[in-house]
Amino acid sequence: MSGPIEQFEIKPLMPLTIADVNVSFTNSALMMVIATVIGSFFMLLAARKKAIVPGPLQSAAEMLYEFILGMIDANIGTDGRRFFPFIFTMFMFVALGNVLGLLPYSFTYTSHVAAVGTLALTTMVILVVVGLYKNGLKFLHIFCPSGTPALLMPVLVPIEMISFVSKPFSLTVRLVANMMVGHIMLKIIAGFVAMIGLAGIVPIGFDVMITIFEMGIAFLQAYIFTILCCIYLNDALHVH
Amino acid sequence: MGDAPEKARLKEIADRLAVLKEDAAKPHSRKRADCQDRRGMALGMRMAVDLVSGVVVGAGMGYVLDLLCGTFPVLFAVFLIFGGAAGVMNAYRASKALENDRQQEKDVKG
Repeated sequence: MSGPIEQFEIKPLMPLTIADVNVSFTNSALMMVIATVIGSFFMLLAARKKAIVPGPLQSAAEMLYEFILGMIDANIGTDGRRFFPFIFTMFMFVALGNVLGLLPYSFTYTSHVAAVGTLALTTMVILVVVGLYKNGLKFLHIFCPSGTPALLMPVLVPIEMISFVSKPFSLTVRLVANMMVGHIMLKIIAGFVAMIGLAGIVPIGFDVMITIFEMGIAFLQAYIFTILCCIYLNDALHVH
Repeated sequence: MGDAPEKARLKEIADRLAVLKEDAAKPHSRKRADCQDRRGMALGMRMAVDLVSGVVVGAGMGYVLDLLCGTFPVLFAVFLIFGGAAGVMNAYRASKALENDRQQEKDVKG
């Protein structure tokens, strides 16, 4: 029987090396492509008709759209709407990654620090660039809040810097840990089924419940990831 | 004959329209209320991880700086403490944001 951690192993499907850099097409990359295709086709199909009275598919897409738009309006304000494409894409990518990972034989790319960390770092780069562009050098005020006594500066500035650097870190850890824990738990409990024979019906019931619970977690974590990105963007856009 | 119920119905529709128009005039207030529960959950998750991540990032930064400067335990220890402070500050800020939201909620309602 395979261990509970083996499901996170990255396997190259098409080994490829360019200039000593391993750029193989892996199972993780395959799931990312599938998630992107499903997300794009869902939105394209839903937006194809542009009916005034929307059908079920268009309703779902409109609900998603308004959900993210409401999140941006509430957390950044209406001037944050220019980030809508970025935030919406990120939400779809993370949510689909979490949900598709629950299917048997699939792979959860959001359980890898490399994938989620890249998303978080991208957000931070955008945040710094936009913050510097919009506020100029005033952006650096996020490292020393107004009204700080000069005596406290040498202590407060490093603390603020650490707090800034820890943002992408905590974004990544939160999502990765949640996804990993859920999948390991599912696998371990599924392992009990074979071990205890007929009484295995109990862990099966447990697994069913946990799977439903994990569906909720999948969407909740995608939501938290995006809302925190919104909050961080707001901090960078509106420096006090 | 059917005049009175029709008028009552028209008045009801007019009332409902008035309420909807009032809501549309203040676009964010209702959405904010809808988001409140989920926002609270997001903030809770944020605080729990922020507390730890501050310490870890602080320790990592101190360790790297130590390797660069060749002063092993000094900067590591200092940044570990700074990191702890940063974590607490992050959590404190998150809780303050929640508090501000609650206050705004009250202001809108009251």
